Amino acid sequence: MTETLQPVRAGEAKPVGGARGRLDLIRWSDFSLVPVILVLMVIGYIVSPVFLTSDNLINVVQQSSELSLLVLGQALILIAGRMDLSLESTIGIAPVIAMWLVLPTEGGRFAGLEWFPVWTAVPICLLVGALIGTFNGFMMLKLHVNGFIATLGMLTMLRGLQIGITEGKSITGVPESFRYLGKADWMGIPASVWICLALFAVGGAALAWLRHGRSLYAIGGNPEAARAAGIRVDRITWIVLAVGGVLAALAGILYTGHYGSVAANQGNGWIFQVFAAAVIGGISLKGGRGTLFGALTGVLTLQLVVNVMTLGGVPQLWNQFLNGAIIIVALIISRFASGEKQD
Amino acid sequence: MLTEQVADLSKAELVEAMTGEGKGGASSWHAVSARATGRTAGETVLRTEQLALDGEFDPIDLAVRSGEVVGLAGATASGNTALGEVLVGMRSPTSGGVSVAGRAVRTGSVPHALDAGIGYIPEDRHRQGLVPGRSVAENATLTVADQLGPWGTVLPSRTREFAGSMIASLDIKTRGPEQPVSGLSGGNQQKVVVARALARDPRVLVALRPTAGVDIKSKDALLGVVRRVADEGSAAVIVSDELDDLRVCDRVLVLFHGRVVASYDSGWSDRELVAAMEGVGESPAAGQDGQASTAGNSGTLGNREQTS
Repeated sequence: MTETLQPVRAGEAKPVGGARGRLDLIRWSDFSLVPVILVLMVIGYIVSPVFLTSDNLINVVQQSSELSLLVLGQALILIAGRMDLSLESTIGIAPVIAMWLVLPTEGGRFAGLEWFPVWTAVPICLLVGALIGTFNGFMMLKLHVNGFIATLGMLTMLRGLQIGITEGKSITGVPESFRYLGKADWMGIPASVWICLALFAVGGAALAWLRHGRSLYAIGGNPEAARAAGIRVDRITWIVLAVGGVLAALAGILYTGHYGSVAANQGNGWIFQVFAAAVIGGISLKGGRGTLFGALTGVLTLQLVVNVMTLGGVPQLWNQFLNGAIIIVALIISRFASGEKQD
Repeated sequence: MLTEQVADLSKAELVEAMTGEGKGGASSWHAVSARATGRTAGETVLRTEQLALDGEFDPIDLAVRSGEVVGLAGATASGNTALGEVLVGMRSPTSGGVSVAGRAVRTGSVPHALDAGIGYIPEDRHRQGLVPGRSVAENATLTVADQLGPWGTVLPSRTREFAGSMIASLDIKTRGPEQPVSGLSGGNQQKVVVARALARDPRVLVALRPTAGVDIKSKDALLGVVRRVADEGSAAVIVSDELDDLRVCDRVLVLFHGRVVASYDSGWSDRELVAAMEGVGESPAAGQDGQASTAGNSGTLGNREQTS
């Protein structure tokens, strides 16, 4: 079979047609939300002159940044055919544990343990995220617990742990090193936005051009076929779950820095928006399908809708209802736009 | 077009009528014709030593030489499928070992089996063979992802090139390497699975029911590929209960309830093979080399009795 391994010689290569071949490579469905975003911006402009100011737009992307990191993690996990509901609690508990371990035992409103120097707060926070993801992986891959119910349990348990440690209060007096990323501006745009864009770019490149990144699609699409092809399915799934936890912890750092304290309900109720953004953005809940670019447009769409509604003077009390309604409508539209069932 | 009573047609004529092509050596993969060329089998490539999986098959010593296609025949639950899956690392044996060209292979690990040169054509392409939503190119190169670029990268250009050569070599009917594999016909899907198995240039090809659910023309092509792999100096193992699959084999071992109950060289009759697979009939006369292969009593090929 040696001759099958020879690359096609230049002369023999079928004239696929360079330009058309390349056009086929771009999957237009990934861009299906771009017109929606444009329409939203036009509506926003009509509704309020404030909308198109740079302050407002930067505000929108900054608010998107924390959510989008969760969506990034969730998208990777969904592509690999799993789900992790506990991300919304990781964004709260990881900073809390980091603060708990580094803050002084007395003096502040929140008494820490002071086990580690203050500069370790960021690494500890990320490590906690990785450990939570790893534990989720342990339950799903080694104990073979159903991922939905296992991570739902983790969601509740970690939220409870946060309330227990903080006694239900916010943690103020967050060290400067921990706040920097969330409040710094780089070149006039919040650092958190740059970080998000960079991570989405890295993730997208990994999925497209790295062997292990590409294997996520195979794992999510058909894990048995991936295993039969020599892909280390469990190991890679496990790593992806840990990466998801790290991304959620990083989102926690950005959020904490942005608002200056660790809020007691940090991330509470976000998981619905995370899933909605991912699904609207074309990530399949069944695994093996979707791109990170699509997921990013999903986040932006959701945030723009909220922003336009706020500017349009929709009463606060109706926000939750409208949020849910918009997501339902968007899901129905994207279901028919993509032509795929989402059962 | 041909209008005639099917019963009046020979199989070859029927195939010709269905596929619209001349016979063109459609049966060139038959073991007998290969044997007639006077080719002799080479050194042992795949060897198992006391390989066993509790509840599936008893300890078995198997030796497959280069240039040889060995069939593992057996009905459902005979243990032949489990044996095939252990050989390729999909399942872990309870005892015993597998070696390729004299070097032991870590059992129960597909990546190690692949590295050792064991290619795998799974039984059910929908379950283990293909990732339906992904492209032909990606499916065909899943096993060689480590060879498609430096530092763990997978370069699209090299993937397309590799897939293109596979499509040409196996004559896969597709609109192009980018087409989702779910859009292909059954036979062409199976060819993609074969391409995936051959991509690493295996020294041993293990095929489980390689022609299940494919049209008759693809069947000939697929079995021809297996024959070609062996003729080019590799070895092949076919696990199947389809007589057509087994006709390509130089040697057929019949498993029944996890034990080798019979062994044939090419030239067996359908009746005796089916009888052996069903576990009925006398212990059939062994292959033409006169080797005794009745239950639990054989030289290098069969099982050894185990006290259990």
